[in-house]
Amino acid sequence: MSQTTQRLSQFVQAYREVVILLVLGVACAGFYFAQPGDINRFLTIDNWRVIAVNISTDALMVVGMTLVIIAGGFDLSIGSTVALGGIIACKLMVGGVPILLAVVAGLLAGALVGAVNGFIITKVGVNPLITTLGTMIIVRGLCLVAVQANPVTGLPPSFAKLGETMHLTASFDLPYSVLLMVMTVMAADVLLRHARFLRQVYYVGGNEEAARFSGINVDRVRSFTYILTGVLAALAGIVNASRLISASANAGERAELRVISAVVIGGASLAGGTGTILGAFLGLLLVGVIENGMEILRVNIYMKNVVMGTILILAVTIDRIDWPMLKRIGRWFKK
Amino acid sequence: MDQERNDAGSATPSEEEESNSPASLATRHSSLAPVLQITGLSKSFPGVQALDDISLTVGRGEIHALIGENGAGKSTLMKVLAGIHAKDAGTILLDGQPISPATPAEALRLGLSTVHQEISLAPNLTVAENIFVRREPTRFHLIRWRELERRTRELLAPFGVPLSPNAPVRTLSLALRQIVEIARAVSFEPKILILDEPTSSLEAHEVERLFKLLRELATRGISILYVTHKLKEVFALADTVTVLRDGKRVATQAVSATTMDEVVRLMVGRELTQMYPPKSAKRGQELLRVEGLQLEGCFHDISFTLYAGEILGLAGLVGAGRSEIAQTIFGYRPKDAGGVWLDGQEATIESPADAIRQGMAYLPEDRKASGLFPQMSVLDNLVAASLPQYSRGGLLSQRALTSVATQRVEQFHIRTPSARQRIALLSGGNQQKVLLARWLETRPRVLIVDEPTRGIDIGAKAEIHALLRRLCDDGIGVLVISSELPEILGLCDRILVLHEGRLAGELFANDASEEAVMRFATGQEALSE
Amino acid sequence: MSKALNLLLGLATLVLAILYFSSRKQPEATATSGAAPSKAAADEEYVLIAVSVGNAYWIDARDGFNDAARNLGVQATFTGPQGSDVKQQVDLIETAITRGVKGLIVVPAEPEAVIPSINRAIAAGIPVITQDTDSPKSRRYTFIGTGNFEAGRLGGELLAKEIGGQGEVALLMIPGQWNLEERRRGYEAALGKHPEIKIVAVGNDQAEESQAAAQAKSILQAHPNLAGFGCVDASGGAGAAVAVRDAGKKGKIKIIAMDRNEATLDFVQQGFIQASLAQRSYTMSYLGLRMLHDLNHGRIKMVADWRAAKTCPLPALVDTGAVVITPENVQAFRHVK
Repeated sequence: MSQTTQRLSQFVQAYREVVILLVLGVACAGFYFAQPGDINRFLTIDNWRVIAVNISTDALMVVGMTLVIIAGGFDLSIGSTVALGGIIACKLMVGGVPILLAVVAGLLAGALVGAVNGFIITKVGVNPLITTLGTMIIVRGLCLVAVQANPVTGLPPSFAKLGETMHLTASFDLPYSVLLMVMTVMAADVLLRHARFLRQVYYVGGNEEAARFSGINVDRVRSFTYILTGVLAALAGIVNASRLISASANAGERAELRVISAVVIGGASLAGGTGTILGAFLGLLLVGVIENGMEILRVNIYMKNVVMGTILILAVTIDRIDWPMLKRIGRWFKK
Repeated sequence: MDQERNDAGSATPSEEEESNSPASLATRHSSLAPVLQITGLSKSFPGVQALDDISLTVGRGEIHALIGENGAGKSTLMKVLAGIHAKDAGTILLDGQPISPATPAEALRLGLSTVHQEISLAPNLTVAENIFVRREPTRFHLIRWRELERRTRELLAPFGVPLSPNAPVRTLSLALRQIVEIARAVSFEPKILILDEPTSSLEAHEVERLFKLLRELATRGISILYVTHKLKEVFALADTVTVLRDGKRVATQAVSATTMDEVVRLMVGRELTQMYPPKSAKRGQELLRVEGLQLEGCFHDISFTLYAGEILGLAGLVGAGRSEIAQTIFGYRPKDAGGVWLDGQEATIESPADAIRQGMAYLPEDRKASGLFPQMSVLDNLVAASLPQYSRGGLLSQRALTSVATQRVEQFHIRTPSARQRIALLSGGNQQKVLLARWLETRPRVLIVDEPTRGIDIGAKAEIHALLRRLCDDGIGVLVISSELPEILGLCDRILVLHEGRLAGELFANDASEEAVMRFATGQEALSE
Repeated sequence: MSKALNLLLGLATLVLAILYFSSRKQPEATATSGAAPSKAAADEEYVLIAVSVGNAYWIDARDGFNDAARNLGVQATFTGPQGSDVKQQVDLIETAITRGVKGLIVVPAEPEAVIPSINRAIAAGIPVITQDTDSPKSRRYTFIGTGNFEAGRLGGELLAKEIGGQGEVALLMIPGQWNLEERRRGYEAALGKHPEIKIVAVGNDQAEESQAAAQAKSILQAHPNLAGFGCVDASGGAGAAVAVRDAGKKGKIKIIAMDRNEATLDFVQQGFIQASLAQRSYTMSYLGLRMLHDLNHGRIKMVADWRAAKTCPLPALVDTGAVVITPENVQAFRHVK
């Protein structure tokens, strides 16, 4: 028995992404058969498009957060940066600045937040949790100050177009945000596996001191992960704004929790040194599918949180299960 | 053998000598029923059979040494007895009763106390609190402090060390912390005390004190299972020695009835002719020169030269500043004063990346803390310092990586199922070889190795020594820092000795001896300027 | 088998499965009259998408919604984000569209951001009503509610009357939430008509009574001459009342609250809160669902077929006003368990 549990957890560790795909398959099948009514609404192209669009902004942030977590860090400020990026880009657009420049400005704002995070964490030496908690509150406050709780509206129609879809064929629409998501995730996954600079995050997260001894500039690598995350969060905010044709100070609320959950479900360890972008993306997809499924099943809205939290805990423990653990749990129940 | 025992240190000569003589010990041990009897013990992990049908007997009051190379199964056996791992098969009889400890707490209750290699004390608590953690004397669930202090004092008395029960552990030296660990283990009134490599960070006189303590415990009737890979200790301390190799018990002998060479042969399974390769007489041009190097509070006025083709040793007591000097030269630490010359040119080195670029390599002392990337593969660990060599346009070439990995694995005889194996699963010796290979990939001209064979079995030690000598023959200069005097003496052409941050002496191979080195290291003698 | 191969196989299986299943399960062409109504009714789902769904304010709205649904024999689903992130609302609207709900009631977190998705729902044949907060530029058929601005204005007038037209007042709210900002603007408009009245502080009660109490207390500390509190959300009233009670100033500092939750009602009864404005949230969702249902079943026969004629027979605005709860009528508002 202990051999099988050991082999099971090893399989999960090594083939994490495949396991998530399997769980996805099971979840899809489950939701499909549990649907109320006669008509299949769950496994349709339409529904999948909705799921894809719904996770498209989170997916951008998942890419950045995966790198941050692999390098051993943590970023709670992405939700606020989402709002900041949207607000800055939109305010500029409304003020007459060309869309492209406004977007770049928004991205730069995100980069700035990331740079501040990186500086405080690497040079000043404050722990990432506290640092990003602080920037999260500060940036959110800045957003509120900037818009005084009024969402920025009156955006140029051409910008709003980006939030829509492009019609590839008569029946198949591909929303721009989904296209962006797919391209970003694929590019990032490939680059993380093969680009020399990016692979350093594994070394930095695996053993910081050893990385230093090997000549890796640990501070530069870490700062890079935070800056990239800031830019991607701002990008997510801009995509959001194009979809909602407005930018508000509330955007990105609780995004950090969803994104970190996805990254962890996808196999990254909070201690650093492991994780893949594909895994994190699949984790996000799983979360999105389950949320969608729960809506279709009309699950009580208050139960949803219980379900999501349980999934998170299960995902983290599944590759750690071993026979002694099960025995301990069993013994505890018998008492 | 008796002669050695006497030197090793009983206080009162004749009577104790008598009762501790091998003959009387043997009779004492065999007359009573053995306290521990292990039969057919087996334990396997995925991919490796750690223990294979082991049988072992320990008598009451016997000091039983367990020796073997890394990976031989010593620590697995110890962990099974300590309740950390569950056995797959076999029986363990403690005083005739079969036991199978499922948790460390249960092992303690049964009478098996273990002192692990890593000190696990809470640094901010006092000695007394650490010893009696979760067992403090209480009234109505509140700790009775005076009673706690009294019990601790009582427990520590026979140890004969200046330890105050109220001293916070963080103020104690490593050696004293170890004593506290032992005191804690003894406080459970165990039948068997198991120690795992207890002397890896101790000075000679502290080792002496430890041995005296252990012998005293043995006379009190506590059996001692002493796990080590240091031959000298086995012969200085133990009554019996069991040799493990590849998970099997190869032999059990009374120490008095065997020799060091024979034990080595049993451990390694072959004749180990040469631990240290022959030294070289020739010396090439100057590779590295250091002048007036200084770091406030650490070392002062350090000047020396390293030549091509030579192995230069840096010896000294723990804390003399050896690793710090090396790390400063390598750019990991800043310096307050002094200069470094490479190949005759003054070099600016402000970070490890600078040093690597200019042809230096440094293999740190603690491979777990500063060397290995534990979750990554052998391949990833191998190329960590030389990534630019395998990439074009920023992208890594998988083919180049795999080819260099396969080459080096073969070249250095690294025992691993594949280059993609997680490095944490390799034995200490093989891990060290990977680290050495990593540094050699950067094609250094100067190689600094800090405790290159610590925690490594004899077979791998010899391989690494041979490797270092081969590198020298190829024209590289090697600086070796080591606390093992035999290693320094056997390996190095020239030895620099440090004492409290200053160069105390320089010895050439022919003039060097353990006594000479120690005299410089303890400050009894110093270089005349 | 290598990892990449495994992944590819898994992905391929998933995609094939999706394609296969999406082509199955077609709607039944004709149904036998006996079985059809109940099945169809079970499939007839109406969704109410709110904001800050954990807030006690929505108890009434849910009750109205569920009661109407029960009477009509249809499915009612209450959902919405935990906070006020409008993106999550939009996601929920989109999901509702694809699963073919029969009607939507939306409480927009922001009036502009929901426009595209509300319009998409209308285009897909799903009637949409906004409740409590309006999205006037969208193509929604009806807005039911008090209008946040109006509610705030009423509160401001009540407060002005209570403090005799002069003095310092403070407001309690959650800054940044659009509908509450509207109410604040209403308060400011009403109070602005009285030059002798000054708003000296705006506290953040974080939608939570103990926080409201803490804020109110600090405001009292900073402004010892405070004449009254105006609260725009459900937690402010109870919090302000606690602060006034602990300061021993019952009746001397006037409080106008919002909503009819139990804590607020208790304080009204005890005389700490002079009046509380309750919106007819139950009525809003009750009527809302009935209107959508009638619309779907073609019962409002202004024209024979409103969809073909492209004229929606529903009114554009239904003003449910606000009820003023005072110590005299407070008993009637207690929730019967």
